[in-house]
Amino acid sequence: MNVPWQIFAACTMGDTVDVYTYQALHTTIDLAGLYDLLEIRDVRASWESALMWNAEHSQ
Amino acid sequence: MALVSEHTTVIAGKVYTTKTFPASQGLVLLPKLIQLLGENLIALFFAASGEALDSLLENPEVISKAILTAARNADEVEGGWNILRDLLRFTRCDKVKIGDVEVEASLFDHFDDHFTGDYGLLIQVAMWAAQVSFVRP
Repeated sequence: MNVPWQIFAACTMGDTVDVYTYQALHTTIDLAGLYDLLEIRDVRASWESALMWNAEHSQ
Repeated sequence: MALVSEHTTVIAGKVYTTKTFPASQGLVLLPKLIQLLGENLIALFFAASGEALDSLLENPEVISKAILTAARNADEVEGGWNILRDLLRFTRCDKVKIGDVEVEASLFDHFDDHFTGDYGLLIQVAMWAAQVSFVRP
């Protein structure tokens, strides 16, 4: 696979690929924007993990 | 979120304008630039901003170090000195001397016209363009 891991991480959503993000990363989003995207996904993932943990431990 | 944007600066009395690279191109170019100039120099340039960056770009010792490092590494890095030309793909200058006239032109298209005999200026402009494209604001 020749796609840089940062592009891969920013464009994949579960089993699907976000082609609009992929296209934007090749045209209108710069490197700072890519790292913002990765940070957004990171934060979202940690929120989801926290929600899951709370749901499991509140029962 | 950072979108591709235009930036302008004045170096040695000439106005330089550049656009940031799309992310996919930046990811390819940045590692090559680090190989050419070394991590320490890149870190030094990228850590500075505003007046500190201006001061760094005008420091003869720093510029000399950058030229020597690039000259030493150019043969071993894919692309060599052309990495700096690639870095200036979207950069223009208001006064590029082509023949007997000075015109506004692309530095990628007129790389030799503008930088022949002036590696110091090349490093100054290239590092500014790199800072603009690769450093997260």
